[in-house]
Amino acid sequence: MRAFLARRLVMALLSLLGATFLVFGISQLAQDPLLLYAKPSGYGVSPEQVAALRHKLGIDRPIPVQYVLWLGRIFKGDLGNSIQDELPVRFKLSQRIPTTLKLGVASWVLATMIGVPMGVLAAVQRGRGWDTVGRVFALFGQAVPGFWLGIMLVLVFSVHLNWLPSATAGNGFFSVKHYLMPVFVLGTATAASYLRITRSAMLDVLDSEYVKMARSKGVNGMTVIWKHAFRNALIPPITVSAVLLGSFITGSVITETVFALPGLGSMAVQAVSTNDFPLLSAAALFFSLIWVSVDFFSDLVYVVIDPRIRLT
Amino acid sequence: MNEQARDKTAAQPSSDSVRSQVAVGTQRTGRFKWSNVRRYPLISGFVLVVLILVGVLAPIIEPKDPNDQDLRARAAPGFWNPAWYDEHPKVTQRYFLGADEVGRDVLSRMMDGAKISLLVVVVALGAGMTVGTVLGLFSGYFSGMIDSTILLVWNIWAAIPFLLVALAIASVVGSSLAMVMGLLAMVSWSAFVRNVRAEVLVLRDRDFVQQARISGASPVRILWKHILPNVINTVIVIATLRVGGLILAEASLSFLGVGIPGPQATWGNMVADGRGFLADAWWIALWPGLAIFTVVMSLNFIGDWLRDRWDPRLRQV
Repeated sequence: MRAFLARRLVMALLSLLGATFLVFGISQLAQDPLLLYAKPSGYGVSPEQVAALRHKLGIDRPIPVQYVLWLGRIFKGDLGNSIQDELPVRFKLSQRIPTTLKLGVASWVLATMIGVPMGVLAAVQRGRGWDTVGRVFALFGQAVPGFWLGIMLVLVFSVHLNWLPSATAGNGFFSVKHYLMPVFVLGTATAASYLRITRSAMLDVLDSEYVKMARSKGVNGMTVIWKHAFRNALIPPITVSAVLLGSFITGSVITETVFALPGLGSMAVQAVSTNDFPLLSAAALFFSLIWVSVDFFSDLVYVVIDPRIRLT
Repeated sequence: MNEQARDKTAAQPSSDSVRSQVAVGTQRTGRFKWSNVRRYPLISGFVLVVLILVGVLAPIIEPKDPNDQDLRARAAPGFWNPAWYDEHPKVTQRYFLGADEVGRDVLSRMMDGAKISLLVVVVALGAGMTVGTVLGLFSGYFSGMIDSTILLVWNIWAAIPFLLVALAIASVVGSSLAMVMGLLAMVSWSAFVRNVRAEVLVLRDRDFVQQARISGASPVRILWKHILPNVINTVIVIATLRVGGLILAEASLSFLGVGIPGPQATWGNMVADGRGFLADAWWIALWPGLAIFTVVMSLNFIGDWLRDRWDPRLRQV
């Protein structure tokens, strides 16, 4: 167990390093971040001033060195300053992260509450009633482009019916009215995936001998489904949880852009258009961190739920 | 039940069951049957054929030049509002699905966008499939260093938030068709590695592989001649299941403005354009989004069907 954990931890850290280095490197590979301040010619900037600015921003050294320095500062809690408005990146992140987390958690809860029970129901009623509903929902959810669904919801509910506000996150901790459409958009595709996975896992389990045994013993139908079958069908949905939460990263960038929510995703899009590499690297770090830790925890839960899994 | 069968049963109600059996027998004459719609993905197949035809023939069948602007016809509605054309007699052409904010034909642009989607998917998936399958074959067949190296790369790859990398690259290098293809190829290879590897791990110990090895066949020959034919079904099924996702990914990149640059129409950037004109011209954003939705749904449907037929073990992909 301990060796398994250690290996997974090392892997997670390596992944984190790889991912952040890639984004860090790319974001200042070809275009000079100084162009944010001055065009290469004109404005009467002397070469000495450019060199001084370069030194001040710490971009006069090779990228690997910069990366190591950047990592070192992170351990001291210093994420650097945004190039655009010189505010500390940490301050900007702290403003943006809550919105993204609220959006992500709410969508995940919604997706789980819709997807998993509907998947169980679809498997139990295979080929009938709820299974048909589930199939249609799964096809819809996995095929509809999130950005388009968001725009169409805005068209119907904000522009025409004027029921729901768009383009703000509202006041207070969690304004249901403001988050309803973004959460729905982000949750639909995930719910569809959960549904499919849960359904196929349940079908496998319901086919097994011990479920037949339980049924022939006369165990009450509900108990068979939820206690005997469901618990054993849980592993695939938990395994994909990591992948699905990973898709939230992409999803939140798009959803926040569509609904103009002040979250990390929309910040990253802005950081790209201004080539603000400290901000972009920090966003990448945060997203990778979430992704890697979810992956890690899903492996842990996996082992706890099913002790039969060999720790290889 | 078709017309003929109903006539027969109506004529001789006394032997209903016999008649209906005969009717079922006569149905096997190649005419249209609803049961086939349930059994085969006919509708999805039709959508796919239409997409391919439109994509390939786009330059020929486009009713208008997709980039031709006519400012008098800006935000002209389509077939649902013919009265508009009476009020604007100077607009002589009809726009079947409406015109966008600078008077370009939405239908022609969608056809042009179909071409792009097709091109991107074929190239990206082709590259990703080849690389992923080869790595999966090697990773599964050779244990030890090769396997663990490939797995390590795979794991690091999986942790990279690709959208951010795409955003970063686009802002640095500038976006282009080739870049989008490259990015999507980078996203698509990993699914092949994992599944092909799992298959090879089982096949490697089978008798026919062992015998080939005893006969002195080289590893490359074994992989190419003996193992690849056995995993090719899996590869095709995964490819089909991935197509829809790739189309969605391409559209999302275009939507965020880091995909294929304008004025080239893509379904994603058409939706992005239309977003600013929702209140006045909903059709600019509606139709291309509907096209993405229909095509992706059909492709997923076909993928599911193929998987159930060829490779039911992949149910959890």
